[in-house]
Amino acid sequence: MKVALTIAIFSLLAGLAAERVSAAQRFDFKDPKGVNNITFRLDAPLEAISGSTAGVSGEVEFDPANPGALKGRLVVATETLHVPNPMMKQHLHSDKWLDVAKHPEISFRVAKVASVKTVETETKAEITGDLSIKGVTKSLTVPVRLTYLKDKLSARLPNMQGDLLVLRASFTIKRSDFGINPGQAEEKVSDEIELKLSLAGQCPK
Amino acid sequence: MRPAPDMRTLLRWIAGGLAFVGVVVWLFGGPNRGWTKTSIAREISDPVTGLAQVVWEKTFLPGLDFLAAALGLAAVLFALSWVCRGKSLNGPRPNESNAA
Repeated sequence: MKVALTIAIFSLLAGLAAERVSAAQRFDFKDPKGVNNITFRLDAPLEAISGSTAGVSGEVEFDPANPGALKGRLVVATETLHVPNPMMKQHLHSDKWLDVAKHPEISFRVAKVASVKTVETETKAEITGDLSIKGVTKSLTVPVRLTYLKDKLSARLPNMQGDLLVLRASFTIKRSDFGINPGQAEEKVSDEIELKLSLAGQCPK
Repeated sequence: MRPAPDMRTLLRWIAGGLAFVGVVVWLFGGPNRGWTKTSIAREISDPVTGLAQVVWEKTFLPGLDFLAAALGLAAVLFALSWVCRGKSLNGPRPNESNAA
């Protein structure tokens, strides 16, 4: 009788734990509406060089009850980076700068989430992860703002039920840290690159 | 009948025309004091997520590099006109043939 009771309690605890684990939802950041974008800005003498990409994909596991357990990976197709001047775009994609042919992806993998503060549906946190650009991987801590929009997927994509996770982040990296034309042409193009992420992931039910 | 312009005059006319067209295109295109652009970003707010979608619209916006290229080419043509001899493209001028 005592053994049976112990087994029952353990089963219940295991079940609860499993439920806790499965509460994490998987959000797909490949946006069929094409809204997702990352903008970048580099200072330059005549005019700052600004561009963007909508070629974002990746998956993030997010548990609204435990935002600190967030994990996942985001990927940017390097060839989708766009700047309004065609010659600059050609340079940006060339082997001196991003070398699109050899390095078709830029990725960020979440390693750790800290300083988590959640108010209702909004979570602010500092995410540490591995950013890989042009074959160089560096650890980076980024302040992010996550907004969990329960049952809002249908408002965005009719005929689909599910939740949305909006991710916003602004931070700066140095191109020299990633071997992007390091130490060269800094009088023409700044070493620092300002990045702004505006992304929404969907989790259909 | 009016004599055909000589090479020197022709180059000067082309240089002047190029500089004029360059300035007019730049002025009426903006005038944009940045780089030349072939697309312009427009932001559209997504009503559900509140995110700003960046849409690139194809358009030609001449910048200072365009203006500099037009004026630079005009300057080169004008400089070349000083090198060229003032000889008619359709043979010697009437007064030149009289002198001969």
